[in-house]
Amino acid sequence: MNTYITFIRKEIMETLRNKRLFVLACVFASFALLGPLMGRYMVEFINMFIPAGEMDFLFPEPTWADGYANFYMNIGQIGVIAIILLYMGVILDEKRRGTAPMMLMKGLTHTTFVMSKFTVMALTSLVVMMVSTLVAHFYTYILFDGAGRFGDAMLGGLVFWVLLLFFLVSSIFFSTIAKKPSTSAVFGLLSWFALVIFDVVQRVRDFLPFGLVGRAVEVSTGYFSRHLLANILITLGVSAVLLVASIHILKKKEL
Amino acid sequence: MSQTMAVETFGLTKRFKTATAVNNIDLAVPQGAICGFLGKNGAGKTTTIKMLTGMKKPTSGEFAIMGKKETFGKGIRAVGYLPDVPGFYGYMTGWEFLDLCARLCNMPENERKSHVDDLLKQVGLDGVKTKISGYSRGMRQRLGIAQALVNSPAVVFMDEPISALDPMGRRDIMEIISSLRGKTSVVLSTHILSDVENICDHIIIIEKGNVVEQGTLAEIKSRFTRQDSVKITFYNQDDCDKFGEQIRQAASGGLNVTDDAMRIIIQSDNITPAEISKLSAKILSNAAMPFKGLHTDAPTLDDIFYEVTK
Repeated sequence: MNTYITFIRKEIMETLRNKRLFVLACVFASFALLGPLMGRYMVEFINMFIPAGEMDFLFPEPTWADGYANFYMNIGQIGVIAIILLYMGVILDEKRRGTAPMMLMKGLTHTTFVMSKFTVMALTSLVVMMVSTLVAHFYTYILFDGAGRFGDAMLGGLVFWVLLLFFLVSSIFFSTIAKKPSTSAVFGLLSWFALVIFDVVQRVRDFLPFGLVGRAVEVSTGYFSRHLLANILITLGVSAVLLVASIHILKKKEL
Repeated sequence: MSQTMAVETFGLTKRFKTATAVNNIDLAVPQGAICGFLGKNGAGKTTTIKMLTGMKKPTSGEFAIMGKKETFGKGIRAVGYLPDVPGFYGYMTGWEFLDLCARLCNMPENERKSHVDDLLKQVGLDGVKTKISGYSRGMRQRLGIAQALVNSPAVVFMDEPISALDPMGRRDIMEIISSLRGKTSVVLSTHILSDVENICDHIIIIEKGNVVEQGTLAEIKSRFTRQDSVKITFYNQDDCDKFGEQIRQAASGGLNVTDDAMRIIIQSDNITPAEISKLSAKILSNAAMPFKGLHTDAPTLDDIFYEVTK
């Protein structure tokens, strides 16, 4: 337990001093502002270029739900890619730099090594996610004169965080099996792309991690789908399997 | 009763897909020794050290640290390790890094601060407040030594700690290593044989994954003294080659003649160095061949290394 807390302190220091938290917060906060803004004015913007009355049926009047939808769609793309790129070398860099063997020889176990990293990554993303959800909620309220219930909005943020957890664990896993950070990033981006593609298929969407983007929007608007729990549990289950596999593979790997 | 060795291997072998890096080696490092671990590039030094520190899995064979058999994948608490290019967390100060290492070693709170201060003082980094990312190569090596000593290990493995340092940095690091004598056993891998001769009391030479010589420096030298040699150094390689050819013909097989970068080394079991010198002088004089020097001496570690790894 001592080494777990010690290494968590080190990871927090790294997150703060290497400006990972700052970069992540900037990306998410940007979309917390841009999402509602696009939701509110996108239709007006498009209408500027289309003669009045021609395509009104395509663009209904925007509502505050569009603020959340845009926010989650954007961070489901750019936000997730930012996470993949920021954490592509989370294990690999320590191995390549030689700090992993140094730490492991001091009594740190492979399990503690991975779990401390995961804990701080999860906490960092939780803070960033909840703060940006808060920003999105208030900005949506300002732009639309309404933003649903505050509690629902925060719950929506939590649902999306479960998806982030999946991509964080994927980064750990790919960084454990890959030999170069770029390979780890390619694996991460391919898995993201594959999930985006499968998300088009309605039948599997409800049970795949990326389905949580839509679930987060629904929860923010006060709608709780009957598939929500299954979607969350499946995502958490896959994440747990990947985490355990990462530890197991790292134990077997030569440093 | 035999003394427990600091490091002992029993048929230790490491095979990669296409090559055998370490081949069935049996080596022993006595407690308290500063052991020079020598070999050419690719001889198997780093692979051996990585197996002995638990970072690589031996294909076969066993090893013991302070008499205790160790295995891959389990942390080996009794060893410290300094890699050839030590990596650190650049955003930390040296103090913070050593404090992290000491905490991971579960050092009690009341001892930790003074232990870290002492280590920094020992390696000459006390008072340095800059982040590690701003350290010079020499400072990184010093910090690397400090981290290797943080858990007061029985054995410290150092993989080429001085290879990329300037002469001043090299001297400083060698002094630090020398100061460890009697406190901990050190296995020092390096190419700089003069430094090894100065501070090491035990030598292991490895070639193509096999241990070809091991023992105290005195023991190894005594094994080679019967072959006192005569060395003739030339100004150019042509004269060196010409002389080599002539002395081989003149002695008709009675001499062991080797050439090494404009230098001819002549040894013999049955002809004395004085007679070899006389014969050499005659050839040099007859051919009016210019040469830098001719001298007879006992073999240096450099000679022994060349002899056993050629």
